[in-house]
Amino acid sequence: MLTIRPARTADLDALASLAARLPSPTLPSGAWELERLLERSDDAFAAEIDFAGEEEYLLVAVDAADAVVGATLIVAAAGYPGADYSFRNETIVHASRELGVNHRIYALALSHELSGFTLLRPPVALPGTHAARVERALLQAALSLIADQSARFTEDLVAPLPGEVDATGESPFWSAVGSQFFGVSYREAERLALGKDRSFMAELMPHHPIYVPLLPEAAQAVLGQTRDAFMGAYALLSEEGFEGERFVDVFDGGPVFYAKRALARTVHCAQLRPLRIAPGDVAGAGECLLSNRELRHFRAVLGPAVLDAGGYLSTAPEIAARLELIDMDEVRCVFA
Amino acid sequence: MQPPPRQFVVRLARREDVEAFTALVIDADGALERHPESREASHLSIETSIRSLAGQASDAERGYLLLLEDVHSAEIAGCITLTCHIGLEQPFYDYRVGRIVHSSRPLKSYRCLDVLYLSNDLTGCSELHSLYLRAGARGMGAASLLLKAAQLFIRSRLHEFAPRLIAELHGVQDANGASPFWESVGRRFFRVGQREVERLMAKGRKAFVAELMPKHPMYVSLLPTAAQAVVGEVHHSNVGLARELEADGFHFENHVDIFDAGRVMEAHMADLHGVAASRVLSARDCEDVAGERWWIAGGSGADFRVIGGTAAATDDELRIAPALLRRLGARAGDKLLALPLRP
Repeated sequence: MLTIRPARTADLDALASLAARLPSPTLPSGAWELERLLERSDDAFAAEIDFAGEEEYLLVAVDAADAVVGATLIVAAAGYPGADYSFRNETIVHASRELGVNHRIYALALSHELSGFTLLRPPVALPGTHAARVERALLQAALSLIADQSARFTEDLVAPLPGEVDATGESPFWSAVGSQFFGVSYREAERLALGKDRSFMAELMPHHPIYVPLLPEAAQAVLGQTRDAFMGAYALLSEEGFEGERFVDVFDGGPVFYAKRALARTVHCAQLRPLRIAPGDVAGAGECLLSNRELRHFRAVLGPAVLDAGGYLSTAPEIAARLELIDMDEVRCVFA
Repeated sequence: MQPPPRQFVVRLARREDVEAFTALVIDADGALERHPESREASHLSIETSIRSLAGQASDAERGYLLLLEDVHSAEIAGCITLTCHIGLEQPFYDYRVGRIVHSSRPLKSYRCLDVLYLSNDLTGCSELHSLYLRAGARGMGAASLLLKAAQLFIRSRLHEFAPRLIAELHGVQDANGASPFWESVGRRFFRVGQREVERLMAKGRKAFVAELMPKHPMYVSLLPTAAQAVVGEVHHSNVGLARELEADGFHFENHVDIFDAGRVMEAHMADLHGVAASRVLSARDCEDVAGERWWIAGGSGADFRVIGGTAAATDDELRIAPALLRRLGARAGDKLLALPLRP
């Protein structure tokens, strides 16, 4: 049984070791930064919010023994209070009736279109046999929270994944594009981009679209591609109905997935049902992600449940206990 | 013993030149890309020139075909073409090489980037193009004669030309004759060979170019390295021509060809050597002239002719040998247009 809940200060050590094992944009690697993130997340869950701003919501997944096995992060508004930069992959049709030619050319245009959209960082899980299941539950839990807290998040969701890098950790896309404009290394640019002030980017980014066919092969090859460690997240986002073709990261060319909140599979397939606690095994139960529709006490649990004839969601008492719900409470559920 | 240098005269093309001009185009083997290899095309070029002279051509089509003729054998050994206004019918495209600075104080970063902007800036300009010499006529100053003849012709009909004159230089080619710029830029948009594109361009089918051209500005530093290296560079065979055009008042004003990124040279008519430094003088025949080398134009309209020769100028007269006057089809007392070989 897997439970997802808001991160707490007490999770610091567990999260630090997770971050150390799995470098990702979800969890900062420094203890100090991680502590600040936990504080910001605490504040976000506690704050009265009218609109999506700079809040960050950190969720952790814990196993039956309450050990942290994964985490994910939701940023309420990408780029807030500034702009979020991405490249929109534009299609240009080059056609000539006279030459009998009609082909598509792609060009990357700097875009602020994703600014202010709720941003999902990729779920990360401790390596192991259950990693994929944990990542999936984390993403579904994040989407369930977003669905229930509509004022805190936006109708459009984005989910960038880190772009591919070569064996030395350098990004072929950065070498071909960004370095021409910034004159700093990829690592330095990444460091600066993750900092708060991104206004420097506006001054340095290419204002004109960049023709993809003119980029070196190595840069074209990594466009919209993510690293091995995030292939699971790539597949999950695709399954959820996120599109990964339209936007790429300005630094490393990684995919920036996009979806309408209402159309993400976990959101539109979800059902809101009264809970019925069924002692003993629940006949015909399937694996389901249940969540309790709370904010500060948000809980999501991955476990067996079944929709019974009366329209109730039947599940075991220990799941209900984890959800902190009692009989007849409304529960959000998404079956696998 | 070396053969004596050949003597040439430059004159306007006439109807009876159609066979000889077609042969010249065939000899050029594609180098005269604006003049397709066909009798019909040659006929059309000559007719355009004749109708222009008669004031019957529209602004969009007006142009003149000047031929280099061997004085003794009457062989047509070269040509040059003047178009009075480019781009008035089909758009004329080039890339303007612009510059953008990307700078950030907090990053202490300062980058100066060249950008290629697709442009029609040169629309309406006059153009000097299709300069060609047969192999047997090269290295004798005949190219200079054609260039100066074109300038003197412009001076003689200045009102028909635009205030700005351009001349395209060939861009760099690799050992196989392919353009690195085309291979790494244009080809990716056209997906047909450069030769094929130029053949279609020559046939006047330029509309397709506009449809297939990359329309967004392109950062030079983002282009493949081979292409970056040749932007605004000159093909080795055109280095001498580039120097001569510069001496005649042309400058590189950051426009380059869309196919090979070769330079487009530009001159203001008023600064053009053949316009600014040429003088109208009365012919005075005189044997044994001890003077300097001049480019001399005589005759008007269809009889316009230009030669290079020795002459001596006074305030209003040009003393010149009777043989040269005959070559110009002029007589003593006629007005000549003379341009000193050296300023």
